[in-house]
Amino acid sequence: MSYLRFNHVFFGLMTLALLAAFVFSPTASQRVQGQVQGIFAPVAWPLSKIGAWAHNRVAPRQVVDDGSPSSPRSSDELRRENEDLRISLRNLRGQLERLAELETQRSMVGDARPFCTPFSVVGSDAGHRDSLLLSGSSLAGLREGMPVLSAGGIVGRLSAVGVGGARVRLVSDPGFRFEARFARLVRQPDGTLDFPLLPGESQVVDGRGDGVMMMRITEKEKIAADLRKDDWIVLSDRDWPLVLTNYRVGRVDSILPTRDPGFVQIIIKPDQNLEQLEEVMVMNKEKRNEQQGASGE
Amino acid sequence: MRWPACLIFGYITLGVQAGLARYLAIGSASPNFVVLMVIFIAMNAPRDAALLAAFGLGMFQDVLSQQPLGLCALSYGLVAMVVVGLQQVVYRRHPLTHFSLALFSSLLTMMVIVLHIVIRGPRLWSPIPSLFYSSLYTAVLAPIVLGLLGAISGAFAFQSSRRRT
Repeated sequence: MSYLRFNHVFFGLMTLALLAAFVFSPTASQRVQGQVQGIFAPVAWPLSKIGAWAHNRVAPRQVVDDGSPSSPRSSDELRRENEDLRISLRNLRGQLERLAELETQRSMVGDARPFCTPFSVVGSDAGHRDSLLLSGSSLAGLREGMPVLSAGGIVGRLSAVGVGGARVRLVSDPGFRFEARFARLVRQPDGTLDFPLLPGESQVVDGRGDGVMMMRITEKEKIAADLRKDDWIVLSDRDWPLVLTNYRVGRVDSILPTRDPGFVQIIIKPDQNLEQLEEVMVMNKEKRNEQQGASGE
Repeated sequence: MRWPACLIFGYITLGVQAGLARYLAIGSASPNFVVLMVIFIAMNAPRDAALLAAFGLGMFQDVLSQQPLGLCALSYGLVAMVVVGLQQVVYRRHPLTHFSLALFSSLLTMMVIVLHIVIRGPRLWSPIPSLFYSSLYTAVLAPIVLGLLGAISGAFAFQSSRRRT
């Protein structure tokens, strides 16, 4: 009798799992996930640190020194600092352009960093998707949809936040979508670096999983932009905070033909393996920024 | 089966999966330690306990992922049903058993995920090769991981099938 009862219970659980996975809305399950994912942090976090340490010893991350490709500087610290400065510069330029359009100059100009709070990455996605588990939770002021950045650029958005933890859905996760433009680092005759946007409108970028994103454009657009491998993809999406305009997302990895004549497929990869980040910046002070902007007007 | 031991090792396995698997990835293929834990329990534990533990491990793995709740729970429930049925006909300590069961289980999990992609989308096929390579990677690691778990199986106090019957 008890055997039959267990079978019934197990069948019920499996049916519930089937319905949750295939029928119910994913947002419903995300609410549950946000509440309990942090309970694994006591094991995942130290292992993640050990893994990062070992990984850095075996295969240290190489930062591309765009500022001095012919004679790379010796100090990693200097390179990272330089990279950060260039991101800030590009970011400020993008903001200025948009702000001129909106005629709300001065009030909202600034680096994205003052609006961010750093959070440690506790672990990565335990399944087959592209996400990161953070040490923060809703108690730390995190909310779903908040943008997440790193020194390398846009990382993603918070997708499941609860008292038990928070998860970042990475830009490369299947179905993640945003608009972006192309940009290129160009060395001027006087030796300074410029980061102009390439000709063309904003295009939709889709996450494809496994750290890859894809964009589909016409041959004409590709020729007009003179698009090449290693060109940058920068955010140009009005659904994202203004302060992130022209923030970089990744590089052009390859340009492939498609079955449809007249179109090409752009494969984009982030500048670094997003799943191996140890710390990210969550933009959780956006409201303060907007308030400052409003008062400036 | 000793449930506290199962809970502790399950908790550690899930923590390892979330914290360490990304650093053990080869290309886009990362190992799935949770499926190996499911196989270990399903190979040794009584039927009801094995099914329940597998389902629970899957449910908690879903919690640690962007994927919808229930996907791994359903997959591991199915895996446990098959492995429990094979308890009497396989040599539980043989590395080849570990490899083949891990490959089968990972592929079964992959099929459920592919089915989910087909039904619920987004219909992106690019992650499928990496799922396959992850299955192979997990299967290759299975003899080592299951061998280590076998060495500490005393902690779980599994009863032999003869004693149970």
